[in-house]
Amino acid sequence: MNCYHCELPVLESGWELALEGKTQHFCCGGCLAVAEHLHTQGLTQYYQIRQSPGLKPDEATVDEQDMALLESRFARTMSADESRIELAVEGITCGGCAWLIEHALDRLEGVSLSLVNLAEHRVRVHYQPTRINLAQLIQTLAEAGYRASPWAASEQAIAAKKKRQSDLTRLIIAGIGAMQAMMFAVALYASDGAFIEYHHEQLFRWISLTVSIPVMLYSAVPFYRGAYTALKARRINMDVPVSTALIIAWLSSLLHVFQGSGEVYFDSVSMFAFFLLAGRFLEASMQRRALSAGGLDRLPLPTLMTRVDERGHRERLDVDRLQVGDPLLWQAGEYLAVDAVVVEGEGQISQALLTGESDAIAVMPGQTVLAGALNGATPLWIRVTATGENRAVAQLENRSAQAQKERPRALRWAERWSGRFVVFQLLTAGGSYLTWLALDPSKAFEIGLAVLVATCPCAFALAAPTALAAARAGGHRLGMVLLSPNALERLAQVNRTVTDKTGTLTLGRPTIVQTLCEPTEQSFYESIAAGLEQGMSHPLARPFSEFQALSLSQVQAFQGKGVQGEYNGQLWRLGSPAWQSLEAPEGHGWLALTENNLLKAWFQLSDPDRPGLAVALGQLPQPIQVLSGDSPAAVEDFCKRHGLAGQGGLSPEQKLNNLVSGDPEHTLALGDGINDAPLLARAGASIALTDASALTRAQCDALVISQDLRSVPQVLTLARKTQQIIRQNLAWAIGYNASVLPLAMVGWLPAWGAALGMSLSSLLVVFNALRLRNPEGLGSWTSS
Amino acid sequence: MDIILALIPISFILLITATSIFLWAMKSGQYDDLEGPAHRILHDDDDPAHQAAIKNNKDTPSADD
Repeated sequence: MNCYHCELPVLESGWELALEGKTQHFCCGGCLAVAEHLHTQGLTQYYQIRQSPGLKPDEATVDEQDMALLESRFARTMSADESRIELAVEGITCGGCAWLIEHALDRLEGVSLSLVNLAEHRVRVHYQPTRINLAQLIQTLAEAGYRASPWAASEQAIAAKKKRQSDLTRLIIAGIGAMQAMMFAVALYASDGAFIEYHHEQLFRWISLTVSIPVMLYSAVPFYRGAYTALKARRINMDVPVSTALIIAWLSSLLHVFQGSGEVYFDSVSMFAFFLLAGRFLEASMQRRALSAGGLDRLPLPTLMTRVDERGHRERLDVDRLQVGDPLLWQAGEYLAVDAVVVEGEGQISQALLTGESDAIAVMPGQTVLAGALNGATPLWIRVTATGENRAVAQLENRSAQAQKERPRALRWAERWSGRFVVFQLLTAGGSYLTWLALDPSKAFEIGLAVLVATCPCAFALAAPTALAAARAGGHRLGMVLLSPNALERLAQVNRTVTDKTGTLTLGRPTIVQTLCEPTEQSFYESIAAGLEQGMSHPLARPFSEFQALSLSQVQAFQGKGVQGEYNGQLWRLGSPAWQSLEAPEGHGWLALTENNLLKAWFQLSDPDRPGLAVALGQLPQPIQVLSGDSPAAVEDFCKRHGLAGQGGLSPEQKLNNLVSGDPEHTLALGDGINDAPLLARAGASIALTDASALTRAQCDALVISQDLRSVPQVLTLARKTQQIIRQNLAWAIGYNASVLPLAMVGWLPAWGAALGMSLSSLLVVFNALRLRNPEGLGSWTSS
Repeated sequence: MDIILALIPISFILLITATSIFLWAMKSGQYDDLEGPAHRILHDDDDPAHQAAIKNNKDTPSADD
C-alpha cells in the first residue's frame, strides 16, 4: 500500500483519513496533515491534476525572530503598504504544485499576488507587511507540504542579467534597423534603372537615414566605448577600425542625403553593426555559460536548513547562522547549502548542478557532500564542515575565475596580432584612399572604405576567445573544471599517461566481496568487526559500517596492522594476516577476524573499478603506466587484469622520479588530487579525478568531478578539438582577409559587399567554435 | 506611387509598436518562466469546493465579532 500524498510505501498502519467518502492511507502524520489541510481548504483538486507525487513533509518549526530578520533582508518594498519577496520552494515537481501553491497563498489575507516560476522553482509573493509576515507565508507553504526559504539573486547575477538584456536589446534594434535599411536600399539599387521618380528616391534616402539613426546612436555604442577606452590607454584594438568605418560611412552618407546625390551606405552600416553585435552576443553568452559553470549564483540554494539539536528538536534556521559542526537533517529533495559530511543514513544524491553529471550517486556515512548537491528520496543526517566562502564550490569558483583571468597563450597571441593587424589595416585603407585620390578621385572614398571594412580583423579577434569559451562550456557537460589558463593547450599535447590506482582508476571505496566463516555465525562476526572498526577513519573501516555494530571495550588501533578490542571478556582482533601470523587464502585484500588468536572469519575487501574503466583505458594516450603507493601484489593483480604496466609500493618521490625520467612535458598525469599532488603539479598536463572532497587542494590543470572515467579521454578530445578549431578559425580569418584585400584595393569589391563578407566571416568563425559546446558529438580520439 | 507616402509611416508605426511590445515583454520578465504557463492554463480556478472553502474562511473571523 502506498501513501496517498507522497506515494511512498506505507510502513506503519494507523494513519488513515476519510476523504470524499473514501478511506485513504498515509505513511506518516505529516502527509496526513497535509492532505487534511488541503481538504479543508477545498484544494483536493491538486490530487487530480498533479503528475508526480508530493514531497514527504517535515515537522520542523520556524523561528519567528529568525524569519523577521530574513524578511528584512530579502523583502523589497514596492509601495507604502506592499512588499515583494521571492521564495525558493522545494518539492515543486509539476504544474499541479504551481496550482496548489498559488491557491494556498492567494487565499491568505494580505497576499495580493503569488506567482510560481515553474522553471526555476520559485514563487514571487506580493503582500502587505502590516497584515501578514514571512513566517506565516512559510508556515502556509509547509502546511501545503512545501519547504520554502526566502531567496534573492546576487548583485552580480542581477548585473549580468541587465547586461544581457541590454546587449540583446542593442542586437534586436540593430537587426530591425538593418532589415529596414536594406529594404529601402534594394529600392535605391533598383532605381539605377531610373523607374523611380527623383523625389521618391530622395524620400527613400531620408528614410534609410532615419532607420539607421537608432543603430548608430544606440546599438553601436559598445564599439565607440571600446575604441575610446583603447585609445585613451594608447592602445589600439578591433573597436577602433570598426568605429572608424561606421562613423566615416555614416557621416558621408548623411552628407550625400543633404546634397541630394551620391552613394548612401546606411544599409551596409546597419548590417555591419548587426552582424558584429550578433557575433559578440554569441561569444558573450558562451563566456557567461562558462563562467557560471561552477558558479554559486546559478545554484538555487535554500537560505534555510533544518538543524537538529541533542533532544531531537528540529528547527529551520538561516544558513548564515549555521556553524561548522552543526548537526543537520538533509531533507529529501532538498538542495544542500553548506559542505557537510554524512553522519547517518544512506541514500542517493545528485550533483548535477555541480558537475553536470545527471546520474545519482550513492552516499553513506563518512562521505563528504558539497553545497549544491540535491538529496534523493531519503533524509540524511549530516554535520556541517564548511560554510560561506570556505565551501568547496566557492573556493573552486575563485580558483577557476583566477585561471580565467590569466589569459591563455593562444588568446594573448591572437590579441597581440590583431592589434598589429589593425594598424596595418588603417594604413592600407589610408594608402588605398590616397592612391585612388591620385588616380580617380571619384572612386577614392568608396575604395578606401571598402578596404577598411574588408580587412577588418573581426573574425581573427573572435577566433580564439569564442573557441575557448565554448570549450569551457562543453567541458562542464563532462564534469570538467579548468584550473589553469593553458590547460586546454597542454592537454592537447600529451602522448603518454601515468596514473595513480586507488581513487583514480578505482573508486577508492573498498567493499567486502567475500566472507569466509561459519554461515550461522556470519552476522555475529560482522557485528563484532563493525564494532571494532566503529569510529575508525581508515578507508578499510568504511565497508563494515553497513553492519549492526556491537559495543566492544578497550578498542585499540595498530597503525598498518589492525584493531583489537574486548567483547564479553574475550580478545577480538581484526587485521592483516601477517599481524596475526596467519596464512591468507588465495588472492589478496584479506582481513582476518580472530577470537583469542583463534581464526573465526576472513573478509576479502576489494576496491571496485571506476565505471567506464575499460573503455577509457583504450582511449587514453598510450603507453599507460600505473604508479601506485599500494602493495605491489595488489597493483600487479590489478594491472594483469587490465593489461597494463605498473609498479606498486611507490612513495610520492619515487612516483615523481619515474615521471621525470620519461618525457614529463608531454605526459598526462591522472590522480585523485590528494596524495599525488607533486606528480600532478610536475606533469605537462594533469587531471585530478576527485569525489569533490579534495577539490581545492588539487594542483592540476583540470578537475574531472564525474565518476565515469570515460570523461577523461573525452576531455582530451575536447582539448585537441579546441586547438584544431582555433587553428581552423585563424586560418580562415587570415586567408579571408588576405584574399579580399586585393579585390577591395582595385575597386572590385563594393563597400556593402565588403561589409557582408566581413560579417559572415566572423559569424562563420563563431559558429565553428560553437561546435565545442557539445563534446559528446566530437567523436573519440585515440592517440596514434 | 504616392501611396507609399501613407504606407511607409504606417509600417514605421507598426515596427515601433512591435519593438516596444517586445522590449516591454523582455523587461517585465515574460520570458522568465517558459514552463509554468503551459500547465497553468489547464487548471481550473473556479473549483466550487475551493471557492466554498475561501468563502468559509472569510466568513469565520467575522462570525467571531
